[in-house]
Amino acid sequence: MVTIWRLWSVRRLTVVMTFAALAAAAVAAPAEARQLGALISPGRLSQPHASLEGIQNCEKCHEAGARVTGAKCLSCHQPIADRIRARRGVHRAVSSGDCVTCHAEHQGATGELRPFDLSQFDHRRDAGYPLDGRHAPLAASCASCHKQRSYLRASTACASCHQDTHKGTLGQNCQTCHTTSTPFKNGRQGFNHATAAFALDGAHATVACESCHRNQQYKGVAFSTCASCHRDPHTPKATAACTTCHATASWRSRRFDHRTTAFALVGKHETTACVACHVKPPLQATPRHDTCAACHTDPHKGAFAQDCKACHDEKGFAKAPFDHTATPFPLNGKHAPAACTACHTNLTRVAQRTARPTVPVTVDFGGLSRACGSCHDDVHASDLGSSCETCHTTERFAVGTYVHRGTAGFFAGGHAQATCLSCHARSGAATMPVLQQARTESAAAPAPARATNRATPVHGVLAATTFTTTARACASCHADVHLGQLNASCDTCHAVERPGFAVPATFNHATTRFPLGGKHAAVTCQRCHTSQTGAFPSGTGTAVRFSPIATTCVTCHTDVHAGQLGTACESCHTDETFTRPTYTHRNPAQRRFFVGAHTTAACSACHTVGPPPAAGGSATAVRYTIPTTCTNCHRDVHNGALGSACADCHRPDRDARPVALGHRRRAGRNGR
Amino acid sequence: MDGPALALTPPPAHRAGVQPPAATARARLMPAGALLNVMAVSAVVAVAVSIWVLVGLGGWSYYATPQAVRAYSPAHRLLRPSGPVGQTLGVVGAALLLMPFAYMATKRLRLTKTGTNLKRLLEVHIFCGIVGPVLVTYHTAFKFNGIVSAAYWSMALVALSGFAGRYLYVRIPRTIRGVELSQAELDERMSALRDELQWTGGPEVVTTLDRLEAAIAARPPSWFAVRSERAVHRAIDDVLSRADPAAGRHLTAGLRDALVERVRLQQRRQSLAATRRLFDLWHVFHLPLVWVMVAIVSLHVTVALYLGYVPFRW
Repeated sequence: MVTIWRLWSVRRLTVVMTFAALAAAAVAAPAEARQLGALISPGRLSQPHASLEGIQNCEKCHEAGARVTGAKCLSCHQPIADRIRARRGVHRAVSSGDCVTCHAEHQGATGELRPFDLSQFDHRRDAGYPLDGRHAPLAASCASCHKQRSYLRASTACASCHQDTHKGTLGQNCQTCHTTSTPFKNGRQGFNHATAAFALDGAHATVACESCHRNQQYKGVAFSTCASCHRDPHTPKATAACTTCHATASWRSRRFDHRTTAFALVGKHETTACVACHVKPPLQATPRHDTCAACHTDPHKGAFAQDCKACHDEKGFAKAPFDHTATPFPLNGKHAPAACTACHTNLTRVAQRTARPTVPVTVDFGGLSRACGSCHDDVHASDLGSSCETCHTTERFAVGTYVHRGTAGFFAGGHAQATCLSCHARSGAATMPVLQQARTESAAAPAPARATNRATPVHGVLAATTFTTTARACASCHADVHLGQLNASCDTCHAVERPGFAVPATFNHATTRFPLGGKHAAVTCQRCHTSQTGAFPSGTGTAVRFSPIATTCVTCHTDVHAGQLGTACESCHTDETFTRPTYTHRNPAQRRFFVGAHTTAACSACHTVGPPPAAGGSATAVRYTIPTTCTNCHRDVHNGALGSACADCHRPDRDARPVALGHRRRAGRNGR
Repeated sequence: MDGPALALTPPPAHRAGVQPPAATARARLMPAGALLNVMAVSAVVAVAVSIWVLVGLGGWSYYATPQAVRAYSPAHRLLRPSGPVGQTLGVVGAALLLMPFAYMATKRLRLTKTGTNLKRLLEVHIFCGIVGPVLVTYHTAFKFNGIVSAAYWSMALVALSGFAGRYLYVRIPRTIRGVELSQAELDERMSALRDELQWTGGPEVVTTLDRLEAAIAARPPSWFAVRSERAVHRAIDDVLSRADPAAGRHLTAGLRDALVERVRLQQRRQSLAATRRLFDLWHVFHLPLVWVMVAIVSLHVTVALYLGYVPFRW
């Protein structure tokens, strides 16, 4: 630097450096600016205009002194110019021709020339071609249809986007069959085949187009004869025209009148396919038809010798009108409405046959036993043998009125009213209320498919019964309410004729050790035979006491004398009346006492109520054991002044006045 | 501002000996912080223009938009290089960039003798050299293509080199009007300052001056250690407090300014030859880029005008 500084002046250096810098600027211009035009270009042109790069091309777009004019642009973009003049499409409102207002250039190779606001674009209005129906989703992806850069080059012809699967055989007017609102494959909906030479009817109307128009061939399809499309399955070949027998509705739709043959078709035969009888070869001249077995196999395996028509007709094999009365087991009562399969359990149900024809059909009615047990469960566990009809009928399975034969005397009175289970129950689980409840539940339960092997609540109850091992002893059914007091047999007192086992009122009590007489004869039993709780011969419990019962009066009667008179009540009382007896004081020792006024005195004058002398406590009774002392009854009016020897002056058989009122008595007595 | 008036009464120690110099007004020199004000003003204007373009006109989002689709931005109509705002910015920017030639012409044609204020022209030069490139930058819309981009980058280098040129410029002693002092003028100026310090401040102040200049001479010349006036003041205070506490009493405000100027001149004179040499080399870098820019922009303008992109006709 210093050397240069010394050799060169500043001015000279500046000039040299200026040219050096100019050269460097030209060389160091951006790499893409190799062309002269690029040096003065404000930026690279977009890709579509790339061919216009270069200084020789500037004036292809730029006009000297006039910038970029629309005329320059439209001189190349002629289709746009035409549309502007015609006021069509997106440029219909453009008038000034100032293209650069919307289309900016020199924005680089990737510069966008056509800003496009899809939200403002209406394909019908701006392009003249509506995007509707199945075209509508394509509005967001222009390139789906506009394969070239110019939007104007997209054709509205269907074939410009869609492949003509018809290979041109149907022309270019796709709208004849297809619309934008339906899928292509539904094109046939838009085509009226009646306009063709072969109108479609019957089954032809539902056949897929490809079935006849193979390989997309729509023109020149042969249809003059059925054989053009259909293969003749008949062997030997049918000589008559197909339409003699067949209609277009279906191959099975027949035009042939079978009545013209020896075998008119009725019932199910009428709807049977021809080939069901006319088996291969289909046109076998005359199938055998003299017997049903000519076509039908005998599912009964020869069990019925009679003709099939005896049971079946052409209306259908199922529900054949069979008369069971002709069999050894006529159906009546509850059996009458039973389904066949209820007993003939090896029958395959008709419904199964219908739904699944491959299920082998078994209609073997033979080999069925007539015994009830072959269908019904024996709830009595063979207790009663196999003669169910002894008790049951087909009308009603529940036993109604069974008569115990040979035991008329036993089944009288209360026994006649008793229910079966009262005697035949094995346990408390089998009672009539339980049975009634079980019957209700069984009735409410859905009916089983078969009558047999029904484990119903009724069966459960009946399983706890026995009808053969019932003893007639009373104790086998009845409990001994007397708890072993009475050794006599029950019928000594009870009889089945009496309701409630009541003891007859005519019980002869005289046969006991306490004959009832007098008032006792009218007393009810319960007055003496009371219900007691305690020890009885058969154990402790509560029962009416019959034995032992003491026959003493006090056993029943209360001693109102509080024990003053001992226990020999009969000394004074009888069973005729309990009222007070006429008593005469007959004690010799008291003879002198019961004289005079004492003989007329009322009993109660002396026998007052009070505590008996011999009784303790507070008991009160008429006192009978009383002393004969005067003061016991009489008040000492002398206030003890004369001592206690009343008899000295007074006597019961005399006037009450004492003798001593006059000493005369004493004198007199003394004088006597 | 005129220099401080001379003291009427010299110190007694000098009255009998040497006669004091004639009391003349000391011509003012260009201070070290010269031209900073215009740079600040230029920055403010540049920032204001930037805010107007970037915020007011939506330039921020416009320039951030990819170039491929920028043409469809709402601001494109105004801010594109050929748009009403974009082109105007280019035209005004180019006009501003022509203004520095006035300074160059004045200097080259020796018009300073006619009284032209070179410093004022340099201030215009700096203002246009800062604001012009900013306007041109927005005119480019940050799209640098073709050879015109070479002009832009030349302009950018010229503008940036201007800041270095200003640094060298103020290191060369000049009058307040921007006229460079010759060596004789510099020597005379420094001698006059010493005399002023000696006769007005006395030997203590001269001693202080000698100490300061000895310290400067002891250090190797430094190109980038710009000693500001404040730094010189701190050095004076340091010397006074350490060596000559008594001199401080004689150091009036006027004498202190003279002392600072003398010290700073001493600093510059020490590296003056090298500074001048470097400044000449700076011109070798600065000027060629200017001519490159002028040449390419002339081409650019010519093509634009030819293609019809006439200013103010949108």
